[in-house]
Amino acid sequence: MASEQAVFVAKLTKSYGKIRALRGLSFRIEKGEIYGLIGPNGAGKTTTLRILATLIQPDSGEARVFGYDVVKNANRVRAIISYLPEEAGAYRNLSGLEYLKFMASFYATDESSLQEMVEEGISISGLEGRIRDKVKTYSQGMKRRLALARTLMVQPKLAILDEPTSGLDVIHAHHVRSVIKRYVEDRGLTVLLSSHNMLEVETLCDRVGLLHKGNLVEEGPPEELKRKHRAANLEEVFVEVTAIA
Amino acid sequence: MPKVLAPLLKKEILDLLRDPKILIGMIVLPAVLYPVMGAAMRASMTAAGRAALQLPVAVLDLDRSFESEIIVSSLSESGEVITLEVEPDKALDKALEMEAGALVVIPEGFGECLRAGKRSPIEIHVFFESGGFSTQMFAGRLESAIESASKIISAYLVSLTSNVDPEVILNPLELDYSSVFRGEVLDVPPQALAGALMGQMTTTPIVAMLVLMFAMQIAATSVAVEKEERTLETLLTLPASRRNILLAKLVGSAFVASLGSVGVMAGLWYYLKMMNVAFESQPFEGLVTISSKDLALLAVALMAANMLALTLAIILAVFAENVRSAQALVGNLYILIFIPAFMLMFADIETLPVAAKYVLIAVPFTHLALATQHITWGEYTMYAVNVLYLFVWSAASMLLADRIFSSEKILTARIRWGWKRRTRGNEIK
Ligand SMILES: Nc1ncnc2c1ncn2[C@@H]1O[C@H](COP(=O)(O)OP(=O)(O)OP(=O)(O)O)[C@@H](O)[C@H]1O
Ligand SMILES: [Mg+2]
Repeated sequence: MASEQAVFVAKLTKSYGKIRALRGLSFRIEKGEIYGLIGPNGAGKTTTLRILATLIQPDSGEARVFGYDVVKNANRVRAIISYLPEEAGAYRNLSGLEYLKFMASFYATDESSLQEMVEEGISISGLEGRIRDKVKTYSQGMKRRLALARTLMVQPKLAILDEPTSGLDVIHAHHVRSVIKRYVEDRGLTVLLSSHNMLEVETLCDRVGLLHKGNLVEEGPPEELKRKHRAANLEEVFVEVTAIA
Repeated sequence: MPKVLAPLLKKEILDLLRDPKILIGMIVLPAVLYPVMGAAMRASMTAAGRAALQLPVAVLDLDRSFESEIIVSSLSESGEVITLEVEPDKALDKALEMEAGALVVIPEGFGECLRAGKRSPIEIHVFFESGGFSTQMFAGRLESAIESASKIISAYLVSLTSNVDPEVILNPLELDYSSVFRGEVLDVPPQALAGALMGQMTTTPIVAMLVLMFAMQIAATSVAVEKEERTLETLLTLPASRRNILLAKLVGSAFVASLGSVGVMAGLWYYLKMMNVAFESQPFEGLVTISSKDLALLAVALMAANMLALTLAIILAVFAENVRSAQALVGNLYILIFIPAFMLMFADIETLPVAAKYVLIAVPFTHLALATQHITWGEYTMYAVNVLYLFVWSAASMLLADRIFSSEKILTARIRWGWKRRTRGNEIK
């Protein structure tokens, strides 16, 4: 039962032993939205994204992606999402090009669409000159760009990006943001991302959710949040809300 | 074959084969190392053998009788002989000075003593100057020369007192050995057959152990490297079923491991050939020929054990954080493979103490060793039981691996080593 609601999360809880990472988290994302999860270290952002990416299972509550339950219909979910982990490596002994081809082969329906995806990936990564080199010769930021490129090039319905631009230089971070914007506008992509870069969240996201100790403590479009808290920018909102909560 | 299996498999094989640790360390080096070792040993042994032949024997013949002549001529036939003409108490120094390998002193009255029907003394001093292999070969050469002299003297002494052919007295039995093996009468001396069987029953398990060890190391690496290089999370969110991901790892590492095993076996074969040449021994190959049917059965047993080993290695590797600790963890499994193989190499399982027997029988890898024995003896029903047991274990461990792969355990499972307390609170990933 496909649904036009991209993400539906209700009363999600998750513990690692004694640590309660999520404590009844709920939020929704509409199709075509860019939704940003912000919050202090250890708030539960990565845990939330990992549950939605079918990597870990919640203890209780519900999580759906376009109507598919992430636990019961994990394979269906995997076919329509693309997940960029907080720390993503690539196979050291493959070249960047081989890596992109390997990744595209899971999504492409024929040879020409595979070729198209790979071309797109190369252009997103900005690694044109180095794409035939082995991944082990790449710098940290170059690896991040490769991982980002493979996440976006496969044209998922939902992209789940954990701190997408961390470690990127200004130019490439800007480039990636414009690619995300373009994909959302041209292809109706939905994006769920986490970030510590308030400027990025403010310029990129339609709506923001502020996660604190496993719960959403504030939610809304950046402009609205700033107005509500009479703050000059999101950073001030963040500090104010997490201090009270 | 599902569409996603091909790219997964290709990636496994490419990434493993291009890993220098695996390509050089596990495939190229062993394949080159054994032949080089064999060639080196052959060269040094040939040199030692030549040196042993060139070493002269010093002889001080104080008797100069017909009997002592037999000894001297027998020694000359086996190599150079220096005849000393000095006082007995100077002989040793003289022999050393002339760089002889040994000194043989035949005392006065040697021949007379024999003819009187008594054993006669003879002194043989072997000099350990350079030591090592050539001394050993020299001593062997000396002993056989003395031995043949002694035989000639025996025959001579017999001929003095009796009319019977000395050959008959010295060697009264005309031996006609044959070996009955698997119900067939083979025209082969039992010692030779026993040697050949022993060879087969020791080399097969050793080769099998090598194959399994390779496979396990590679399978463990293929899982652990995904954790170490942080590629696992991405892999697990791809639209490929977890079963296919597991399958690609199993098949990919089996393939790479088989390349490694072929390399090692080719190297080992060449090494053994070199050693045979060096020792100038006759290998009993072809004596007990393995039929192609037996070979196929052996392959099936090896495959069953290999499947189990691979799956166990993958399961263990899930609990490791990096390649190193995965390989260390998997190393513990070797015990399960080594102990049965070595225990059964020399002893029949029925002759072991009861407790040891049942413990061994419970260990699945014992059944690989048993299966090879049962093939050798043609006991095919027992072989089938062994292989079935291996397959049951393989299937069970595959089910377990499948469970682990489809749960979040594959990301979160950890085994900690040492006495370090579990750090609570802020463990991430
Ligand atoms: N594998 C794990 N084992 C134990 N505890 C974990 C594990 N992963 C996360 N946690 C705990 O769960 C809580 C939430 O972690 P999470 O990684 O979701 O935070 P985050 O919001 O992504 O933080 P950051 O901004 O630092 O990335 C933390 O208290 C963390 O210690
Ligand atoms: Mg995080």
